[in-house]
Amino acid sequence: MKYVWHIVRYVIVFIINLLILLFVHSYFNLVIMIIMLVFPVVSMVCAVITSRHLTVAFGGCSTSLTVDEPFLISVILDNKSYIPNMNVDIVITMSNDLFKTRGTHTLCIPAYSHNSDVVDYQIGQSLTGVLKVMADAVYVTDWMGVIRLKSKCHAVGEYVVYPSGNVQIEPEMSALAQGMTESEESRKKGYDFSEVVDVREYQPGDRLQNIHWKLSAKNDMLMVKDRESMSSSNLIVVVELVNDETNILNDILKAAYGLGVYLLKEQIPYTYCIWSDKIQDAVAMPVDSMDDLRNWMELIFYENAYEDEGHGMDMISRVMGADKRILVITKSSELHGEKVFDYGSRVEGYISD
Amino acid sequence: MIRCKRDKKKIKEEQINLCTGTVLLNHPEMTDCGHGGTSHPYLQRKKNADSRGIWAKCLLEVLLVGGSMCGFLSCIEMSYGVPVILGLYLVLAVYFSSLFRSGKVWRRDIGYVIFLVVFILFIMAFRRYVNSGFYAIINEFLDHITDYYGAQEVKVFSEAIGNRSLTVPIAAIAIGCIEIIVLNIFINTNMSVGWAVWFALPVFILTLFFRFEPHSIYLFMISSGLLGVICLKGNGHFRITDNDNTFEYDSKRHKLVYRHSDRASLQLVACVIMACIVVGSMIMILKPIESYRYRYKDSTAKSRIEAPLGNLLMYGFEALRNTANTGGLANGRLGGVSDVNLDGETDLTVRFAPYSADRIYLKAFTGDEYSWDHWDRDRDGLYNSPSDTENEPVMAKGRMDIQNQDGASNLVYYPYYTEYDDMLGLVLGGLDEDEAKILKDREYDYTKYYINYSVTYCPYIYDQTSLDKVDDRYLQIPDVNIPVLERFCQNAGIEDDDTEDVEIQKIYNYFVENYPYTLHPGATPRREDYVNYFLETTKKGLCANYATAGTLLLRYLGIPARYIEGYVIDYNDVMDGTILTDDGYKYSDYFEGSADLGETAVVEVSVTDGGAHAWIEAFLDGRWQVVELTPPSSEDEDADQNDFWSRFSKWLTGDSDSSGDTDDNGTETGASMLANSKFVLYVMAAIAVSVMLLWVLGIFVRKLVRFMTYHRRDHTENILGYYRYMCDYMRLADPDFENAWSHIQQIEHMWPDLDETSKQRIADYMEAVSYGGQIPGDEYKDVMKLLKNMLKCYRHTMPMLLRLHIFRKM
Repeated sequence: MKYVWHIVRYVIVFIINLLILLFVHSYFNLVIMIIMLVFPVVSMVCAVITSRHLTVAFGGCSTSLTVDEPFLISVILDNKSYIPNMNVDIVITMSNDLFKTRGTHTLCIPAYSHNSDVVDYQIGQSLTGVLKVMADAVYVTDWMGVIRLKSKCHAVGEYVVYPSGNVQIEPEMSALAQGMTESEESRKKGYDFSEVVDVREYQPGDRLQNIHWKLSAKNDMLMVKDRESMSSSNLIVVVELVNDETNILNDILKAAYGLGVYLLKEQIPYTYCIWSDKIQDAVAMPVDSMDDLRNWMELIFYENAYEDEGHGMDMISRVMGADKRILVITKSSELHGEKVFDYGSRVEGYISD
Repeated sequence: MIRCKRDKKKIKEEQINLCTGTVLLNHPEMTDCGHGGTSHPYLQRKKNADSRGIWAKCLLEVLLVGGSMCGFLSCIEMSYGVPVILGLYLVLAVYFSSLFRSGKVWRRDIGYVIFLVVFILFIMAFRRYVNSGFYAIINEFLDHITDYYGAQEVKVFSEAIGNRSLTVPIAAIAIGCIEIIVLNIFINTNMSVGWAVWFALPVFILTLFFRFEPHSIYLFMISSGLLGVICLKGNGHFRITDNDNTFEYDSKRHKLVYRHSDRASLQLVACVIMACIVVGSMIMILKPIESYRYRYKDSTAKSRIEAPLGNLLMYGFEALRNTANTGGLANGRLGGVSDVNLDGETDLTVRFAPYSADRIYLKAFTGDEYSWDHWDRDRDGLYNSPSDTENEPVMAKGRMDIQNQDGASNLVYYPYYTEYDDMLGLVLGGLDEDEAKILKDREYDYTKYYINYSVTYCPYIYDQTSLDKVDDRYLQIPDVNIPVLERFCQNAGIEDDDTEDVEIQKIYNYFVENYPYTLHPGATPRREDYVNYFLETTKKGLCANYATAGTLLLRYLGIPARYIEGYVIDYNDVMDGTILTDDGYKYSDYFEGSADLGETAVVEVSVTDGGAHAWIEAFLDGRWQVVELTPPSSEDEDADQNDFWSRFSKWLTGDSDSSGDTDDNGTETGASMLANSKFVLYVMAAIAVSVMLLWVLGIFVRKLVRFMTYHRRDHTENILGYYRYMCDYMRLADPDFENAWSHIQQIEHMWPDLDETSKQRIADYMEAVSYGGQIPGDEYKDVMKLLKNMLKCYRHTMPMLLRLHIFRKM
């Protein structure tokens, strides 16, 4: 309707000029009339040209983003043509696959002539995970506001938002000790009870202490021992990727992250484990540093959450055996075993029986 | 109302939810980072944000107002000081646009008041320049029109300052200033295309009507300005509001829209200008104006109104009413002429041999007795003729061919000392039906004297009529005029022992100094005596005023005098005449004897109504002599500063007119006081009417805005809008209504008699609607009807005065 009114208005002005022209037969009105006839074409052609020279990109800070701490996302509209435009509508979709959230809004900004236009969003993210920002389409309205052209674009920006490391998790040490075997305790004291399961070529990032010096000297290339920690089969922290309409998973991940930070601080080795619905298998990762912890969290961000409480733990128990004593982080429930810690009233960690 | 404002503020401060778990915390800024990406730090980019820029709007205003004003001036070849005019327009546009920059109304008000004061001071300081410039524009425009029509030059307004290169830009700035104020308001508030069109196109209609085209640069300016406004209107994003945010969020459409970007607007306008120049130039190359004019054909409508429009523009509104031209002569009728409308067309064509550089009088009407508003025709008086000059030798004799083309058809025009017999004497005196019959019976073809005739005259003789032939009629004065004439003579300083020549000179001098000549004397009211009204009230007039008053004044001083109407041929008219070189027009056929100018060619002179005149014949030194008491039409006609601005400034400063409105004791005369009081009253009445109209307009706009709040598409919004209206109404009607916080309490106030169940039902309903409930169409009508009935019933319980008060307030 808005566009129709713009056309009607233009036609009215044109008719006024035409009436004057018919009345006085002036050259002045003749020229204006022809300009008014040509101008809509100019306007549309310029809109077409502009739409073909627009690109959208997302910038801004992308490292160490934490939940509940604001960060910037820059929407950059680059106009490579020299023709400006007043109305460029960028359809922006923001989504978080882990929580299956999705929101679309339109950003209307001008396209400057042969220049870029940046709009800085200060984002407050309350859910952990990967915030995916996409722009699939750009709509360009011509100068007169009469037509609207669609132009495709494929701009994507991903912002990994970790839980805050400041979450205070103070587990009951006595309860936690139940999940720790002698080996872990010895390891804590500096001994290594891990088993060598394989020998392979050195890869950047391998620890120096794992280099098999004798074999390396023999083969004239660095070989490393692939170890399996004794603790991995004993102290396992299972994170249940259970979610509900209140986004309980967000709290679970915050609690898991907080516990992970605590354990690293206390130099207690542990292995995080989840049940992946995507690959239908348990995924475990020993965590020895903050980087390991972040990598672990990032791995979770690309997983699918499930609705059934205890589903992950059941599946892991089937895979790993029911005899393992495991620290489970999940939604609070009275049915669970010995509680290790609480995170608010909704999340708890307990030692499975 | 307070609650509403709080709610609004709260809503504005709400964070925008972009996605579950993702909120927009800030008010985003739109910044420039150069081509290719974010190369500058954020803060540096933020400085470049231009959401409050005004330059694009300023540019549009200058394009439109400057283009139209300077374009108009270029049409009439008066484009003086265009860079200065455009520069000052830009300054004014920047000033007025900056008032809208903050979005705060009080700043605007103060800004306008400051400007008003400066503007008044400017006008008072430069009023002569403004007036002169304005008059110069009109005069030049009229000159062009007269050229277009091939009519004689008509100069309506006198320019006090002749330097047009100075006065015209000052007048253009003063006029453009008003235009910029108006246009600026409408550009800043709603980018009004209507006002842009109003300032761009109609101003040229008149000039284009007469084929005066503006220069191409102004054509580009106008078209660019017009299309620029259309584009900005079409795109939106032109309003600067009180809100600091660069963006506004439309929660319904999930759209984050920027409010305004001056840079983008400027770039767009620049592109529009380029497009207009390129397209316009191509048109001018492919179809030059010359080739277009070659095929120029007037439209039927234009052809029809061309003549009346020309008359209207050149001679004013009277020209429309007095389409029949009277040749400028009134046959002795006085007082009905408010303006003299010179049509510039030929009334008489006179063919003769010029013999002197002196003015030649063609006498047509003689008045002997004056009465209130007319002169009686002197039917049996004596006329100057060579036959009366038996003792005077005839030194020369001339022939004059007179053709009456558009002059009064019942008069015969002839120069002084025309030879005539008794029969012609009767014709000259004007025939009644009986006399005409007698002449006809005698087979005397008198009709030939009314259209095309030749007379013989003797220019160098002096009549020696004896005193006893002067009738008492030439000394007649109505009683009502005597006190006025007496007062005039006293003021003019005429003393008993003055000679006749001195008395005439004093009268003339007094007229020159105190009674300016004008073509717009204003009509004499029916109940006023023509002479008294002229001498005492208007104190300005045209030749008929001076001749009539002068005749009575001379009679009052004992000099026999009579009132004459006719045409005059000045030497300039002769110079502008056509020299007849054909063999049929020999000097010897048209003049015999010695002449001041020697032997000249025979000349045909077109006498227009501009040559119509009234003068006096006074019996001096034993003969009738022409006496001229009409002052010359001075360039300083408006030196008495009777224009609006002068009178306005006088009124403001309390300066009374010292040009003759005071009597001998230095006190203001009654007439002058009355005139000034009337003017002040008119101004005050105009202000009062304007204020009243504004007040009514304000009420109307408020009503309209209110009406729109409950006539939208959304039914829920309509019900809420109407309910809000009811609450506002109730707050004015009943102060206790403020204490009603819930719907049920409010409804209790509105309709106390309603039963509790219905009250609760309505309250529940409003509660539901307030929280976004949807309403079916049928139900909507019922609810609206119910609410309207509630308000209607409540209104009927209120006193009429209170109802009027609320009507005014809402």
